[in-house]
Amino acid sequence: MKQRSSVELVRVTKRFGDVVAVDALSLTIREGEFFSLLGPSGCGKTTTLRLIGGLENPDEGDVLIGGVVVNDHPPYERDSNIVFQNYALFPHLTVQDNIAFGLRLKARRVAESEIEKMVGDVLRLVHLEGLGARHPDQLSGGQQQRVALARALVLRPKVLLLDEPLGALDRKLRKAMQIELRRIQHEVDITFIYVTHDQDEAMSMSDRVAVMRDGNFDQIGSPQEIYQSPRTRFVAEFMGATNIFSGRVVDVTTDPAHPTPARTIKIETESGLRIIGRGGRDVSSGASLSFSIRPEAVQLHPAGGDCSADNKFDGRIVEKLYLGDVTELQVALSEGNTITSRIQSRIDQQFGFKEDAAVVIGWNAEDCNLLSD
Amino acid sequence: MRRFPPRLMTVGCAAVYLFMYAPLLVLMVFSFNQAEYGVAWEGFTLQWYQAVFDNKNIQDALWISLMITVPTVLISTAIGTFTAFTLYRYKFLGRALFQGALYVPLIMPDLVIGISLLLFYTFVKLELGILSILFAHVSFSIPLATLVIIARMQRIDRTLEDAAMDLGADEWTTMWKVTLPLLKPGILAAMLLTFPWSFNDFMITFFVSGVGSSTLPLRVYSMIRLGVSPMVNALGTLIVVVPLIIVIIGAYFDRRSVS
Repeated sequence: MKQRSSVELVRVTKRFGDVVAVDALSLTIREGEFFSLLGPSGCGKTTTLRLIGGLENPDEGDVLIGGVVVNDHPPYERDSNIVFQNYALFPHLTVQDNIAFGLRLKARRVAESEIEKMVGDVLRLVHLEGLGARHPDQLSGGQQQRVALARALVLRPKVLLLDEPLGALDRKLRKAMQIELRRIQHEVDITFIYVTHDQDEAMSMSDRVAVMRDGNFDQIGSPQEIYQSPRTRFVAEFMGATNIFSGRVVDVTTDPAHPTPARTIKIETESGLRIIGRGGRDVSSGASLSFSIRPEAVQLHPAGGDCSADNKFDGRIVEKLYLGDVTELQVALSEGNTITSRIQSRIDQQFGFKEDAAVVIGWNAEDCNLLSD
Repeated sequence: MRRFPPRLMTVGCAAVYLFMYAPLLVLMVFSFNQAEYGVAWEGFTLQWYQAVFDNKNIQDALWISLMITVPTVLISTAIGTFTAFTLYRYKFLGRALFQGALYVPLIMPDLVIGISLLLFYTFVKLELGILSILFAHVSFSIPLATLVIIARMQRIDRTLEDAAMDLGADEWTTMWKVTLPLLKPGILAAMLLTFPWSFNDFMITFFVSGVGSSTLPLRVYSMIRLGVSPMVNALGTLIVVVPLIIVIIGAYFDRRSVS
């Protein structure tokens, strides 16, 4: 991956009346990167995209594309193109003319024969050969989506901005298009900035993901980082984490045998659970903090079984959910908390865990991920 | 649940429509009646239509009407398009006031509009004639044209304009290549509705016309003052039927633009 910056936001703020949609946001996206803006609706991700595309102008801060400040450039002078959520295909033009729309504008001075070749090439790229003469309303949703993509790609922008482009497609088609998008992105080697509220989508396609909340980022990182070490409770919950324990710090020790993370932290929850975790942050006794534990890190043993984990508790299976290759089990602890464990279905079958059965669960201190609020 | 007797509904409906259209039907039927006086049926004839087409006064009046109506349709639709565009697209101080003011002429009595225009023309010393009628017609047709086009504009997806600009079109190009083509059915509907709106006007035209600038409705009025000839029935039938066809075509285009 090249290291030059493609898009840069420097403390960008955008307000709509009293509502701060984007709040002093800073971000650098590298050239050729597949970057996702992930967050619930209303978090400012689409506004961020429109700020880059020039459909909104920042109230404060700078937007840079290819190292040039473009704050005052209208969308038609920016080297970026958008694939809109509803595709925004021109209903009065054919597929061919929709795709050629940008090329035919005087400023680009492309010869008609050249245009025809470019449109043909891009139709092949998105697998829509032979549909050029149709009107958008004669296409399926998936085909319309590809036309929107082709119309933007044919202009060879520095940055392609995608606003939940797969949101209107059914699940199966969405999966196929995710793979398709990745392939196209590799092929054209253009920076993709992808807005979505679907964490699986962001995880499966992106080089990096930024999780947004209330107009700013909670965390930016690779899909693995975000999934395995969510920095905040919001990120952890948004990524589908269910095991989050909050409590007061009862003990902090520094263990030279474990250089990172440097501290072993013991907390006690309101229900009286004592949990040992590890973290790099300097915390003092009595402070309140939260740990998240990924369900697959939670081991499950039959009652009375041998469990060598740092944290172990007796519990009872209250619910079992078979998910194919893995099985998810809800275990109620005697203290009243419920914890989710995800184990290989193979192992579940081996032990024959049943609902209402007594079990021992456990997890290691390293698997406790320290959250900030 | 007790059901409403279907026959009652059929009869009721028929009565309402009969009430609405019976006078018109009588006019149309008698336009084909041979009798010159009275309301007795004396046989079928097309002679009154022949008389209409042979009448020099009516031809002159029709020509004057068209000289006013055709420019009125073009000018008021063009102005209406830009007014609609401005009112719908841009936020400015007093926009709601301007938009509300658009409706006022539609509910203002024609009598008041006619008198006020006459007073105004006297004030600015504009001679009454074809030009004064044209100005009057354009002014009362603009609200109608604008409202029809705004209605269409509200159905256009704004992101289409965003998309055009994102693809490299500046504001003007976006308007020419995206907004106007999408507005076309609305513009056509506005033209087809302002045509009869202007062509049929009697009251306002009555006040602002001068010597030698009688439009067709004014001519008909002066004809019936000398007694109702069956020729008036024939002319009346034509004046009803021709614009009706135009309105039906307009409605068809407007409806097609929805789907």
